[in-house]
Amino acid sequence: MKWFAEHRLFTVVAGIIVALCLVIIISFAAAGGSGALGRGIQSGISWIQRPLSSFTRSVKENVGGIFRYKELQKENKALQAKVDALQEENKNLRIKKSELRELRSLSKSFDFKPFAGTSKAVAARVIEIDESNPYVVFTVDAGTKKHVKRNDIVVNGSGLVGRVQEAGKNYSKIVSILSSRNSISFRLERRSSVTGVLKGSGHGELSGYVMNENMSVLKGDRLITSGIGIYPEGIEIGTIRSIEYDEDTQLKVIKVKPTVNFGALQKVAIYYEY
Amino acid sequence: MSIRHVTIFYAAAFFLQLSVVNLISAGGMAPNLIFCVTIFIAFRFDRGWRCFPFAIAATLLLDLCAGAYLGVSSLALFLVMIFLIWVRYYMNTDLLKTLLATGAVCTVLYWIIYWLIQSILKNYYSLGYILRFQPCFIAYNLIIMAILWFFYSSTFRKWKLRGLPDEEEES
Repeated sequence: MKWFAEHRLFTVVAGIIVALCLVIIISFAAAGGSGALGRGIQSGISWIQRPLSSFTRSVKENVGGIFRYKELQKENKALQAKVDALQEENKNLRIKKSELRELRSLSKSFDFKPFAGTSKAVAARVIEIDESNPYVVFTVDAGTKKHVKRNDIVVNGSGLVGRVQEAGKNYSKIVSILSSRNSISFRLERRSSVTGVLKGSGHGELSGYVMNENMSVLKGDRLITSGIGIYPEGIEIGTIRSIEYDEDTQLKVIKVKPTVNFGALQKVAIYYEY
Repeated sequence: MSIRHVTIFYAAAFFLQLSVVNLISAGGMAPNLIFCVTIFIAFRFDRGWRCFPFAIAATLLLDLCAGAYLGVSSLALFLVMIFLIWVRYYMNTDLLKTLLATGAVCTVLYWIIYWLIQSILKNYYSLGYILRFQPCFIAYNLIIMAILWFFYSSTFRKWKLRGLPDEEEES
């Protein structure tokens, strides 16, 4: 002990070295773990360090950006081109998505019971619309080559669209149910005895009258083709939107909203007899 | 240099080491601010050895936050400081040149001791790998030491001009 007191400097230095070695050995034995106290100290330090680090990062990015101006410009240009390409692809995918939806809806029309056994269907795409009479008359890309002929019935997944007015080799002109030239005989879906006639009102909907004014019809009633005329029975036409009583004709005048969304019409099915 | 200033130096060096030093790092190599501050104080001032507790505490905290094992940097730095205290008696401590030369030698010595301790702890990497990067480490550390030198010199001159007592005498 006297020797240590006489050689104080050596004692202190050796003591510090031994203490540090012990710290290293303990840390090594704990596989680098620092214990609860160490973790507490670390979290305290990181609380102060965090804003400094984010400041450093933002300075590095901003200053680095100045020196990499040309490189960033080039990268920006390449990314812009990529974004444009992806946007175009996205647009096409969206179109494909809506086409898929249409096709799914159209596929229902291929199982229409009214046509079972007597007719076959061919799918057609709307290629032209008469601007003066939107969706009253329009053109599709199926014609006599696909066995389509005049007065063939046109439907889609939602219901009755119209009839073929004129068929060329690779096209057909369709006159829809919205046309005032197209009369449709209907009946109530819930009650087959209630019948009437509908035609286009010129405002994107149908209007007509019920044959027997004593028959009760209600707002919201669904109308289907009655089978009288060119349209086979059972094809959905629309729902009654309003009912009025006409004193002059003494008939119930109805206004009908078609089930087919003509504004979004892209694909149709044309039934031809075989 | 007073105890208050030493505390400020080491606190600044510690936090800057963990954050701002990344701004100036090149390929993962960066200056060791705690090392530079320690070498500067221990070399420049007669009673500079009194910064040793601060140096050990700072390096322990640094190991805690960023090192694999606690105490490795502290032991390496302490051994280098003992060498420095011995060597400075043979040097002119008023010249920047001698500080830079000593700083370069201490940097290499520090890394060799560090490598040795890591090898004992089974963290193997070759000495050649360490020595390959020494020119970069030396350059970085010497720049920091030079900055500290000029900063202290200009501050010290201002104190003298104002007629304030010598800080070293005070401490």
